Amino acid sequence: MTTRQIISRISVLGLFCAALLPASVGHTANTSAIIGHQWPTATSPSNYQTCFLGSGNFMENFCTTNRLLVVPVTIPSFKTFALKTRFQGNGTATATTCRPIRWTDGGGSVLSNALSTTSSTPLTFTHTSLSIPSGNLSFECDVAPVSGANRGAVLWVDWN
Amino acid sequence: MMPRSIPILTGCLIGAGALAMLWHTLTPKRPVRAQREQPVAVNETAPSAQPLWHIVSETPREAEVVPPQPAPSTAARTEQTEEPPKLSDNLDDYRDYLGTVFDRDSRDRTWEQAAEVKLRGGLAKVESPELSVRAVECRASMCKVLFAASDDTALRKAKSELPRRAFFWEGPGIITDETPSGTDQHRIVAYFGREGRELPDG
Repeated sequence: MTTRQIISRISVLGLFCAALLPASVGHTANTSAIIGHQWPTATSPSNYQTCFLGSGNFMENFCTTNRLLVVPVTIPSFKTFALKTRFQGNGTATATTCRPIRWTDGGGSVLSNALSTTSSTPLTFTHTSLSIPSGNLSFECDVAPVSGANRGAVLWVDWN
Repeated sequence: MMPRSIPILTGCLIGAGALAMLWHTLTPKRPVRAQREQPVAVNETAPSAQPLWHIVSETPREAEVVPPQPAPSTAARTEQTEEPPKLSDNLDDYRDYLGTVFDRDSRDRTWEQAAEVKLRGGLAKVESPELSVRAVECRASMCKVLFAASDDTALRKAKSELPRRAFFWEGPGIITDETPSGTDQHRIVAYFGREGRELPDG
């Protein structure tokens, strides 16, 4: 076996190894939902209620009705983003629903698709991608309320 | 006693790892959109863009036949790393484009009726004295909704609230104002795409 053949075979092995290294080389944008905040829905600021409490990696709704959690994120560069969310319902028919939204400087919005679950265990969802040439990106979730020992919750959002 | 093959295997693995990282570094990065849309005008045979494995597998004779190629220009490099613009990048233009697509869209009566019922039911909860739904109309692939706000404050509030209260609609959408210039009308238009599909975006 010549030296060239050896180098060629090692290169093929190197390609295989490269496929095993994406996490260490690639850039990822992912954040816990505990950076999010409740979106006020009451007519008066005095009626705003803190329903979300962070528990580990979970941002859980401790109120008795659905509440909106907004998770605004920092965009590293303007491009088309693949979007994922991980969240759970409370095991009843009342679902948790999440949707990424692009906000323009003029106040307009572009909506990705909304995905729902009633499962009381976390599931990961992939939304349709959004092109974001300017403005902001936020993940907005209508989170199911507390039901017995279960609570609707959002774990993390991902944009890459 | 340590078998003789262990240091050889270790050396191969270290070498393979180093080559893998070198290959990964030399391979040109492509944006996601460039892969699924038209290819960019970049000279793929430029020496600086060749991965290591390509150079190794070439025979010397083939390497001599290939004339030297100039390196990609600065403009070409920029084109390689940037995505082409999308229609949705400018929301006003995109709104007008979707309006044209909507007017030319085909019909699917069964889905249209179900979608209009769903939209009217969901939007009834967001109507207020300051915001009214003027029209809901669906075609085969999307629905168009027109809103009228009482004043500029109500318009801005509605643009903020509507996307956050549209969880009843599973599909994609856009929501933006459509106030005719030179008038004091405060109108909002929304296009809601059919669930399971993306809105056309060039």
